[in-house]
Amino acid sequence: MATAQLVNPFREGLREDRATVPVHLVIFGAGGDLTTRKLLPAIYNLAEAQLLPPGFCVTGFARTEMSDADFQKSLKDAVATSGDVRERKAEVLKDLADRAHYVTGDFKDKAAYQTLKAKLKEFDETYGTSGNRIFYIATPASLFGTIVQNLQEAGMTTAENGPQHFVRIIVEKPFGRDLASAKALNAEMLSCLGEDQIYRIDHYLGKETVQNILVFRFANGIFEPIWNRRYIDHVQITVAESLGIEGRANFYEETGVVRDVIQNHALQLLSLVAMEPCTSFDARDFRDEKIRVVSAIRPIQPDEVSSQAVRGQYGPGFVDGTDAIGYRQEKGVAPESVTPTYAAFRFWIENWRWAGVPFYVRSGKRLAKRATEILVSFKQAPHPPFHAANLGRLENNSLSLRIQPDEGITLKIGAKVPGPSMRIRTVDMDFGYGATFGAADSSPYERLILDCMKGDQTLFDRTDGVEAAWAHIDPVLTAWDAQSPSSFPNYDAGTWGPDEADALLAADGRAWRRL
Amino acid sequence: MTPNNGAAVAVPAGFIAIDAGDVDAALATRWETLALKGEAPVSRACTLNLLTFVEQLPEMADVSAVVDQVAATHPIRAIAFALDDSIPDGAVRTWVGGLCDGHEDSSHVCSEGVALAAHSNCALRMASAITSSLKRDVPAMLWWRGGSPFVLRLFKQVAPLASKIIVDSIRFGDGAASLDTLRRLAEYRNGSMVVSDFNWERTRAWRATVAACFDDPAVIALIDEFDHCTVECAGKVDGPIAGPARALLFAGWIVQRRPQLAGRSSIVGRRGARGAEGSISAVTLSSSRSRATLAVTWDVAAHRLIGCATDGSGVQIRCLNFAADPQDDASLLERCIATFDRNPLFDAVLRAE
Repeated sequence: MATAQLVNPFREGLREDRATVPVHLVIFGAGGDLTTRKLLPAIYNLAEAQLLPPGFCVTGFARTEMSDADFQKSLKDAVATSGDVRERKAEVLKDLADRAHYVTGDFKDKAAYQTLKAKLKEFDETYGTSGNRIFYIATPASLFGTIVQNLQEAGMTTAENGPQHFVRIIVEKPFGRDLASAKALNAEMLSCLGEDQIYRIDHYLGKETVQNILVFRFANGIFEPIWNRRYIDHVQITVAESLGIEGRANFYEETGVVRDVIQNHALQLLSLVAMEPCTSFDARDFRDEKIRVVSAIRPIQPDEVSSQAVRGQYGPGFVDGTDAIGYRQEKGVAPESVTPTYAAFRFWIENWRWAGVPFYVRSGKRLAKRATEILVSFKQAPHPPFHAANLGRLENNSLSLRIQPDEGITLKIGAKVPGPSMRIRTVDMDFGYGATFGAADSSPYERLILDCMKGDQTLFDRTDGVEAAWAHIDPVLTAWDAQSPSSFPNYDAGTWGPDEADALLAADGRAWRRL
Repeated sequence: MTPNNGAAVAVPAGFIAIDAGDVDAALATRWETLALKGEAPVSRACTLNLLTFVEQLPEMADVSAVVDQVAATHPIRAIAFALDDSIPDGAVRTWVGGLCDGHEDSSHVCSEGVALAAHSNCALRMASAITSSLKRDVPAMLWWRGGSPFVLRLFKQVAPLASKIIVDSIRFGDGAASLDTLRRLAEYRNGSMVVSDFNWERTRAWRATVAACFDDPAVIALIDEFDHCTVECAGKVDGPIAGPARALLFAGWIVQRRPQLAGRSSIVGRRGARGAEGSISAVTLSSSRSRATLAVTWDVAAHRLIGCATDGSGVQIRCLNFAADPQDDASLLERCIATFDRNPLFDAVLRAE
């Protein structure tokens, strides 16, 4: 294949944000909630921002009987109703809809994959997508293995047109439900695909504010010297939601807060705060460092679970001034359910930088407020040379990285209150994304789908990363499974979680930050 | 608005006249006032000083409208300055404004605007007013919205303040002479100033389209067939022309990327082609040995570029549609200020031409 060796001389030196290589995006589970709420609006936004390659089309694949026209209508409906869509342009939507197709098939039916394969080949001719494929598996995790196996058997996991072309697979979290199942799933996928073909998506990493953690740490020399155990007292990571389970009882009963948030989003945030600087921001270096720090977390031993982790479940209460039912009263939830809707952990990272610095991580449903924040609390000045009576309660300096909402960064410092006496008050130095750049935070799915089109795995999880995270969560889940909680529900909806979570920090002489 | 000297100057709405030298104090007061009223974020961010040379004083408000669009996503201090003989010889007239004006949403980006005007005899005074108006510790770019900067003494005074100059080579008289001016700018002060050109940015979609067509395996397979390039421009005549700057830049890029086409490129005018005079309307790579072609054309109605390739026997093998870039000044300016870095490709094209 002489043509496969030819290099495009016109590509070199072009500064392109957009994906340039033709690609066919195939969505498994095209009739599902994720597709309509997130993926289709994200694809539209990419089209509107002219970031899609010219050779592009999208094909939905699912069991639900649907025609191309039906799928195109669901694309249009998704764009019309999604809050993620920035600007609706009829001509962009029409052009995208013209490139949208649908193939009906059961994920377990091998013949359906042959039908899909034939269709994709036909579309390659129509749209010039050159055989490049991204399979986005937006299905329940239990189907990942089956789909990948069937793709392989249908000869669809390798690029037919030669090594310059690609087949990539995006899979959604949760990746496994414990360490054993994650390992089994990894093994199954790696028997069909190379690691460089697998894009395990954690949409948190696609958020601008999450990526800004890296910029904040590694593009600002001022913070690096103090980013360690000598100056940092502790770190708090909060992923709080005021919403309940929003009708997703089946999913949540199976998952719970630890699998839904702590194992992935929260540990991702922890790794970005705590990782060592990587030598470059390429996929290998970055992920090596990220995984290294997760691996350095001290494993929680079975007999330590009760002192290092707290679980909770919400009962009835009030959120934003309105009545909220308890978790067990949610439709589809078992009346005696012991699924945790809240969890808090104390992690210790055993390395030179972080020895002795606790990382407190909490997440929950139906908390007082929706807020994802990282608080870095610094040690107090060793000896304030002011009269103690005038100081009042001198707070630790702290740095808050607000991931969502009201994205930004706040540094709390002590300042002298104007006047003849030496009075000190804590004041905020505040950086707000909205006020500074105005630009709306693009949906993380846009960024991550685009990265996949470009073949950039930096912001995707790797086999060893997934397994390292599960290794820290597994003992806790096992211990909790072995001992049913007697106190559930143990926090009221609209509060900041169970008293035990406060006690977790109080035992160290600390308190959760009030958000 | 009538400044304190009585001369009528079309400064942007909402700007207030102040004494030269009071820029920082006046802006600080406005911020404090807005913060106290709860109408603006308490934080005050600034990423760039954008110095804009306004060739004609009446254009000041137009320039401000363009800069406002850019400032909607970049917190900047925009300093527009003009020399005009309607301003009495003497002090530099100064106005400040901006600061979230017109935006009810307090989360909107807040930028700062400074307008300066002086008699053409006052270049040195103007340079000094610009220097004192700069936001400290923030980098500066110079948008030279005028003809060749080398004819004005003011340029020599202002250029050292900026690390990048943004120009529109159309304003340099177009044609080969404008490329000479671009080259002089690129070499100015030992090449220490980065140059961006609106005209080069206008070719971006054409370059991206040609590149994207060759991403296709069937088209890249034809690349050695192509031994001629024709760039077609909207013009007053049909047939070969000396070439407007945009076409020269594009042809220079083709040759820089594909040296085999050196001396085998032509620029032709096309009467009646849609678009402003000098704008590219079609690009064709062709073969003297076969009927292989890659033709990229501008579909005016659909506002997109269409790239179609035929194989050696003249059979069409691929047709792809590409979105066109916005070509308005605000979009071009936004692209130009996106980076402080030198663009090696642009530099290479200037050298190659």
